[in-house]
Amino acid sequence: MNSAPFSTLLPPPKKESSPTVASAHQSPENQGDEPVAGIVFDSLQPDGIPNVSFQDFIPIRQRDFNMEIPLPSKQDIEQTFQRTKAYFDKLLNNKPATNSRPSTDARSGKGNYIEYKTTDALTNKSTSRIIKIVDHVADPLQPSQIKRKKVVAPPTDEPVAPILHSATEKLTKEQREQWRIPSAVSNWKNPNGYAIDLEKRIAIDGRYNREGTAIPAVNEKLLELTNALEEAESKAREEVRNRAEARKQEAEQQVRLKEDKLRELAQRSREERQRKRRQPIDHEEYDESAIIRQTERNEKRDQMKNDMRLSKLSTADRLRVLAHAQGRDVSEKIILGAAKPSEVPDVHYDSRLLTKGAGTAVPGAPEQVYDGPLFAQNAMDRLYKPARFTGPENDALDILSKMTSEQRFEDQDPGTSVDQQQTSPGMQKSDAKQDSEHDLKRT
Amino acid sequence: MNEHSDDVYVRARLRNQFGYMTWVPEYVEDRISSKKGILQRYEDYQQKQAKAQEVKTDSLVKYEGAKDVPRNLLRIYRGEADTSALARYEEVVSQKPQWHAPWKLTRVINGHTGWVRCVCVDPVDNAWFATGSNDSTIRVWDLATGKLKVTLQGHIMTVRDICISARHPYMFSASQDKLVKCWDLERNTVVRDFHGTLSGVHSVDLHPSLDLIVSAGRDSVVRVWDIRSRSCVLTLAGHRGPINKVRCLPVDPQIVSCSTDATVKLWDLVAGKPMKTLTHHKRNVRDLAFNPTEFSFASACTDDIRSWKLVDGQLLTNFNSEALGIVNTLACNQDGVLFAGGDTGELSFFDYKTGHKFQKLETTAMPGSLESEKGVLASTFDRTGLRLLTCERDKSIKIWKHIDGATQDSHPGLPWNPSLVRQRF
Repeated sequence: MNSAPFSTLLPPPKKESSPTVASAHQSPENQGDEPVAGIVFDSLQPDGIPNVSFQDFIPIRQRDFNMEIPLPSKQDIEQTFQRTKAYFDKLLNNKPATNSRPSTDARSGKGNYIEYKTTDALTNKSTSRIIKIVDHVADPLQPSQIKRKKVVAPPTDEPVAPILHSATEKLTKEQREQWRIPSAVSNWKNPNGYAIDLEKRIAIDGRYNREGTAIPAVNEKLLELTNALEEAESKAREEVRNRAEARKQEAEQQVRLKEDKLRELAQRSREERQRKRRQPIDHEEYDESAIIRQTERNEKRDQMKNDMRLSKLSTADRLRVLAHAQGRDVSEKIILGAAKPSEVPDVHYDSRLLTKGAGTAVPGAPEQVYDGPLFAQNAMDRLYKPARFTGPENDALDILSKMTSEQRFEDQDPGTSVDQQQTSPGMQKSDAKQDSEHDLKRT
Repeated sequence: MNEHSDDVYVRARLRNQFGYMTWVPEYVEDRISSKKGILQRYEDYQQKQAKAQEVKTDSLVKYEGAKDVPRNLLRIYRGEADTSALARYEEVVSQKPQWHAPWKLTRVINGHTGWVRCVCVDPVDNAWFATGSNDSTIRVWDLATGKLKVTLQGHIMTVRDICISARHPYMFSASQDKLVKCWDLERNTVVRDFHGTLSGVHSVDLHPSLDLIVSAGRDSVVRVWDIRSRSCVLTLAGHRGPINKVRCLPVDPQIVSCSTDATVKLWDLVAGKPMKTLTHHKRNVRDLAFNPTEFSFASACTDDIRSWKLVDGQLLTNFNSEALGIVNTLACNQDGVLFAGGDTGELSFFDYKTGHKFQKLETTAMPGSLESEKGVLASTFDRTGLRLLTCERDKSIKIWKHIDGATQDSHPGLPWNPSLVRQRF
């Protein structure tokens, strides 16, 4: 073939050999003229891709129903046997047996003897040793120690077998939809806090169908049950409402009766008053001193009652009462002596440091003239430290009795009474008493 | 003179400068033609033929000369013309299936504690059979009475296949624990282990004339072992998925294997490569069964059973197997009955020659077993072909027999209405 000197402008062919009829499959063709179905190689088809004919798909039994397919004859079997046996004998002779048992020589202690000669380079003296070679005794039941490698299919020059079946059908959209399994979404757990679509939530719920619209049909009996329940409930509610109504009406009736009675009473009293007003008033002489005495008596009784109450209290309560009377709120810890003044650290911070984080409202450095507080911190602590009740309970009682007694007897002294009013705690009590007196007088 | 020289000059110039434009180089043409359909190519070829006849000697167009005639191509079209659909249909209708007696359940054998995965009948005197199970045991049962004879323990995982030798006192078992074991049936012990498989072994078979066994499994290679030396003599690689079943024949192809890659391969043992790959099946080919009376075999995938003429592997019959579901197992007997056991517990019986389904049965689930445990996993006919043994997922072995006294009139079987539709591709 002249592949044309002029066609050099085009790129040279990659494969020089032109596709020809595959020799292996043509050979039966040349022998006889009988039609042969099967793989046919087409000279016009490049790259040795086999051509498939329609005949390949027609079962040959249809063409010739009474076709005899005899079993292989004995001669055939014998021939194949000989051929294969020769081949495998050759293979087996070449191949060392993997699990061959230790040779009888090793077991009987016999071995091959080898004469091993060495020559010393310096002295040029040769020494010979006789070495016995014995097979290592191996456990006959031990599996093969030879590691096997995966057999990789060797590259073949054979043509690719034509695919003689139709392509698998593609799934339709409906079928694909049927195979789709919704991702597992839990109504109870969502540790990563993903936002889950409402649709997906509905999809999980077995009560809804895929579209999330229709609720599956309810059992008819269940429907009856719910209806009956509903009816019974409404009936019961009606009854309850009626009863409540009746009770309410009864209550209203009673209220009305009572009101009527009251009105009658009021009317009667009004009439009485009018009748009295019409009568002339005769002024009785009230003894003023008697009233005063009466009030004093009352006062003393109250006082005694109060004292009685105080004497019954425990010391702590008594102290609390005392403190309350003085207008102080004292916690229990202080009363019991358990509280300690908070310890102040030796290091003192600049107040600006502490107020820095408070915000911009705090005046800046220029306004703040002083670095530290005016008083030493220790002195401040001492200034506001509450006085301690150092002694036992008796002391407290003494103080109390002193306070109460003070009030009683210092009342006579008008000169000191002004100072007493300002300082002593007992005075406040008397103030309160005076107030109550005023109230009495007013009424 | 001048004119003539001009003419010559012009011609020479034209040829030298633009000659390459008038024809397309061969390899470009090939590439173009590879994209054409077969009909188009045939038309082109005819055109070329016609053009060759009316060729002129002084044309500028370069003529390459007729290539060797693609006789095969011609034959294909001639063949197609011969077989019109109508003619074929008439042919099919004239092929009446043979009547076979219907089958019924006669015995249920219990004893395994796992799925029963494989069964093999004693080839010598048809007196006993062995089953392998998910409970990793092999049990040998008496065929006549159904009594347990012996339990063989040694495998540590599911026993997937068993074959019993007619020439030695040996039984071979393949298991998912990557081992093929050789049992001595005179002593009931393991005498050989065949180590070296990379993954679970799914199938094992003995060569009918040589002392070789052939195993295949999840590592998608067929291994040929020498029984005596326990060495792996040959490894046949070629399948692209786990192999489900491998069976041996005394003549070429000496090994037939079917695989999850939806192919059946016929192997040339001496050459060590596949003679033929059958790609008609669309899905996982789970089982194949040889016909004991003629030199052919059947193979099954989901909804599809086909039989093949042997040696060259031509399509012989398309079985009437629509809507059959997953077919786990096939068995064929001397009377021309092909049995297919489905994954859903459906038993189908076919006439081997025509592919007619004459009986459909449902297995009876063992009381107490689940609905999902209804499935046939393995099956075989005994050597007489009169009893069918099925191994099932409900841990039982069932024996089926002909219905006594059944005639064609009393049990006509499923109706025969052939259609060309089932010539699926």
